[in-house]
Amino acid sequence: MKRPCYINSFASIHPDGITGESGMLHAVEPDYKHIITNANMRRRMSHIVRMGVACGLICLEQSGNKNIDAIITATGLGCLTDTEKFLDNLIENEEQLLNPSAFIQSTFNVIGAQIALITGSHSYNNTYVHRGLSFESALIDGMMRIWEGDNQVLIGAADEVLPAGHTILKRLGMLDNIILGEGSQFFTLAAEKELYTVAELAAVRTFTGKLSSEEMLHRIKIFLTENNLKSIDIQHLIIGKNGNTTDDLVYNVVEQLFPSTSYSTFKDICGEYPTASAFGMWKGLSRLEESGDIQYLLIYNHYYTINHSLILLKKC
Amino acid sequence: MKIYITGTGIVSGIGINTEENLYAIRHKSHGMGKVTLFPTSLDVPVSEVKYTNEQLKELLALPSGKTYSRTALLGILAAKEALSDSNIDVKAQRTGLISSTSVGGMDLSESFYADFRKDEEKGRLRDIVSHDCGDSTQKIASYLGITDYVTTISTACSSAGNAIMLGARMIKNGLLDAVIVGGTDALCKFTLNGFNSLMILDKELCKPFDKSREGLNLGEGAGYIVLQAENTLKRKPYCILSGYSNANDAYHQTATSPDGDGPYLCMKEALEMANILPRDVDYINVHGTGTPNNDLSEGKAIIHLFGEGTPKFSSLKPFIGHTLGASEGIEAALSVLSISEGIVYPNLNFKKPIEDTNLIPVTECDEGLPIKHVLSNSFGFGGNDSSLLFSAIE
Amino acid sequence: MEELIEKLKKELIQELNLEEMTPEDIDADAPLFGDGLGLDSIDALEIILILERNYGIKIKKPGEGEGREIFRSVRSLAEFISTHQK
Repeated sequence: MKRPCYINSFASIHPDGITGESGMLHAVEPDYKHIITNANMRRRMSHIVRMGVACGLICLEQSGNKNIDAIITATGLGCLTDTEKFLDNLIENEEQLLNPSAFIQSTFNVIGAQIALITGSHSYNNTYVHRGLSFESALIDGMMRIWEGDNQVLIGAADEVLPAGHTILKRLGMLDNIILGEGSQFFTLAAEKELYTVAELAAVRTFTGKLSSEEMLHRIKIFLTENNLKSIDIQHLIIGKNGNTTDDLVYNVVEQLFPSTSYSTFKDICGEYPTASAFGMWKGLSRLEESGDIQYLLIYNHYYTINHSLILLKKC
Repeated sequence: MKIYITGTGIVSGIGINTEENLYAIRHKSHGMGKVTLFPTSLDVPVSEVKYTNEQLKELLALPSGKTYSRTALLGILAAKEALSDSNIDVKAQRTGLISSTSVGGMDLSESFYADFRKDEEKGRLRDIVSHDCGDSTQKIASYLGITDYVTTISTACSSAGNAIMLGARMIKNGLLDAVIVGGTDALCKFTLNGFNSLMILDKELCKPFDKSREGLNLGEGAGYIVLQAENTLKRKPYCILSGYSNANDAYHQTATSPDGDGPYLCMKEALEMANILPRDVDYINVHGTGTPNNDLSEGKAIIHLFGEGTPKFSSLKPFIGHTLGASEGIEAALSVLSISEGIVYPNLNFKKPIEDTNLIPVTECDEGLPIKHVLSNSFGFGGNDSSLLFSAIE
Repeated sequence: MEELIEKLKKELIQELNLEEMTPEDIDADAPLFGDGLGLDSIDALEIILILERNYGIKIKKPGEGEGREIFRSVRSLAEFISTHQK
């Protein structure tokens, strides 16, 4: 019998749903000075690293348990600002006298590494960078760590927007009615629940491929059966509609599977980006925290119709 | 539950498959040379795979009109060899692919960006779509028809070690029956300059564990092994993965702690998991990059763990360079073969030991040895450390 | 010398991204590494770049022997520059 995975704390740094002049959704950021107190570390951190590290630290603080058995992070595109900075430097200076900081800060595992440094944690540390399933991969790894005996696992995701990214996606025709966004969310998974624990991470499932709506419907039905549930058992559905009418079609079909379920969206607040499903999960947990009558909450998201994920939350 | 290794696939500067790599090692023939893949003013030795992208596409029967990042091409070639070696049909059981990379499609993106930054309407779009780390993994999965579980890990130099560990854990947790694990990285200007800016490249051939070592040589390549549960075997396995560990040094962003705390913890945990004592280890495939920092820290960690009884050890990096996201994939495959062939590999370019540790690596290829346990290390940026223990099947 | 020290402080603040610090906050004689400003090996590389880019002085390896003394404080850096500047 696999150990349950309780979500003992959850934190988020995300946009407020108001598109900026850039045409993108930018995260509303806290005052990092009070969260990342080590100025020497903070000064090197770019936008995404600050978001991720701060969010991770806030989440850990909220859990009340300082012992971390694993730190697992996820990002779809990584540290774009520093990557661009180093590339610009490289080209402008023709490979001469390049600053190493941007290169070091551009590595994909930098958020997890910095959290480990700040907390002095020697424990398991891993980073997933797999498009629209980066966050779910981190969740699955985290769940396995709990099954294997860990007591508390810190899991989180972060992605940032860049004007260059916006221009490129526009040229690729990938911004048809879609607003790009960014943000970071962190969660602590634990083997034991606390008085304040809102929910259990009951199951995570991922699929890759251009699936027809019928195919997706079929897979959701199998997922529910595997978890001994029927569609009427899901009281609330959170879906990753992003505004593109063609790509959003599958969500309309899926909604039909849950006729008496209430549903909500999340990308209108955070925008579209590879790890947006982390915000979807944070929103789901917030909803469970407020509402007394939701027992099971299902989050279904896809990233450009290729990466699909199902996250099932069970209220405690 | 035992995790069996049933296939190996290696592409590096010394060979396009496992056999060529072993041949080169036996003949002490390294893959170092000047950079030819892109124009650069940096004059440092690198280990390039001796095939152009077009030639790689031909080997894979891929349409020459379609754009693939070099990282993807190297990865597909190595993963294909590993899968074929294992004799399994991916559809016959729950099969996964866990690949790692640090470069991703940067070999193409950097060309795109050079044009794009001058004029945002410029730059070939097909060169930017493979940028992210997941691209090469997905290309490999599509080529091999793997759909059950596919993901990408990126933790710098320890990436492939973590991919291998995840694969084993997914089998043990009942989520997969067979999994191809490892990593791939192509050489690119961004990475070469990144390492140069850190002043850790050797302008000469690298000398791991040598007193006069000056830094590392970069390399490129891909390495994969196939892990399986016992009930899905379709051939006699090479050995088992008996132990593994991932620990964070938590000391500094790029340097390892002077006493090698993370590396020590890592190696120790891998042995404890396998329930074997340090003196039972027959050979260590060290991370041995040739940087002053790594080799000293890793050396101290080895002495701390093994004491007087340090086993035979060597670094493969003088042959193939530091292949970053691919390194533990390639080196794990060679560690597996160390057991099945009874071979320990030579550490090239070694003359005098580091004074503080006085450790002397194996400098000649030695065969026909009763190798039962091989430890393979990879220690990366961000303090991300991993160790794998391979053992002969009883 | 004092002018050079002021200039160096500004360059350090800019290149090392020492946010919210002004030249007045930096003590010219305080240690740069370890205590004092608490810089690390990556900062050492950045300082080597400042020396080469802004003053035309090439240093190969950070923090070895003579190198260590040069990097001790802002003042020692300034003194090194004034004797070696091309």
